[in-house]
Amino acid sequence: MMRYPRKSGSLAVLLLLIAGAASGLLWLQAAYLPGAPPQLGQPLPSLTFTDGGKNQIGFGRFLGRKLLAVFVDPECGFCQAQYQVLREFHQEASAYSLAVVVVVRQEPGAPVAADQADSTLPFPVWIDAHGQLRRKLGTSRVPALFLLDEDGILRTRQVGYQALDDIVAFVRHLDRPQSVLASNETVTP
Amino acid sequence: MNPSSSAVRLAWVIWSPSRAFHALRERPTWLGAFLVIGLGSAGLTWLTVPIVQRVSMDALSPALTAPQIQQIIQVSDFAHWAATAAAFLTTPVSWFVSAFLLWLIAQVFEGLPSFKSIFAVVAHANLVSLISACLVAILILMKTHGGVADPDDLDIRLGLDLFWRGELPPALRVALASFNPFNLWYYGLLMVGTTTVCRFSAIRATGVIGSFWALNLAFGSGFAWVIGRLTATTPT
Repeated sequence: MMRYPRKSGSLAVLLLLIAGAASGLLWLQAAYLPGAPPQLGQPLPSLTFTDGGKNQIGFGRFLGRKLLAVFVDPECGFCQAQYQVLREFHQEASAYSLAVVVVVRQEPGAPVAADQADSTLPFPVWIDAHGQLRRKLGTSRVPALFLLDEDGILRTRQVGYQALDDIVAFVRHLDRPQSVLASNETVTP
Repeated sequence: MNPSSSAVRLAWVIWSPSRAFHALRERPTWLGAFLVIGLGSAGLTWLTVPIVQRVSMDALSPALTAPQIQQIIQVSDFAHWAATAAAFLTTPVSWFVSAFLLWLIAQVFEGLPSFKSIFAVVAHANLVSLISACLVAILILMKTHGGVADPDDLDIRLGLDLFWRGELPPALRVALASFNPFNLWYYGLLMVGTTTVCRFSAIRATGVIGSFWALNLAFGSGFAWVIGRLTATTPT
């Protein structure tokens, strides 16, 4: 009877490859996929960012004020355009007593993202290492805008470049008590 | 005709696959197939990428500023070269992965093929992918001559996904797309090739190619599922 000396070894390598491919997909999912997006009308999970002075900081410090948090990437062209809109929005923000924070993704070894964002931005720029915190907020796309009311409740989340008029409309929507504005995202369950 | 000529073997893959794979069993070669298929794929990529880019740009440009358009044009030029080079360079890599997988499965099914002969079979069977790419390029050219303005209309479907209206979950789309005439032709050629070089019975060759197809489908669908979830948050 003919023997096949490589049969067991081949089967073992094949099973290892299948296990490796499955593990790779699971790792990819765990490392890069956004988590479940926070519910509109609910507070955001507690997250800790770093500011330009490397201090630990969170959205909680803005409780009692409305807050617009804008997540961006340093190399994203649409984010550069969003900076320009935010600069124009500066005056409006004061009128609505709204705080604005720009959160920039920072990769290890890269120049400090906060410096890259735009030194002329009239808003604080915080750092999100590897974009991990924004994935915890259920999004991997930028720019992503999160609008919170005075109680820290998420009232809307918009992904993609937003024009000045759109941002003003979102902020005005905050004046309607308890109302939420549907996110423009579609999320695959 | 000289059976050792690469051109003749490639022609036989279409007209007389059994003859082509018998010739490959005697003398497994792949360089000629690589040059024809690799350069052909690169050429088709060079031809079609600017067309898709132009339609996408036309659709996007009303919403963009001049600096943004300039930035996209610069990226597009790089993408054109990069996609062409990638089409050429990834050809042998994907063949190597497929051949290695097929070689392992063939041994599990108690065959004793040489890796080189399996690689030669995979290389020649991939002539079908070049024919499929030619058809896709022709359809893209015809659509753009017909005045297509929506980039989504340049998404050519050749499999069962063609009959599905609306958006499909990425994993399901990959699964349905795998049932297309060219893919069936490709797996049919692999079956003839495996039967010939491994001296398998038809039933055993079906087991080998069925397992290979199932693994490809599982990994392709799984990868599409992860990538689909990664890009699922689409602004409206």
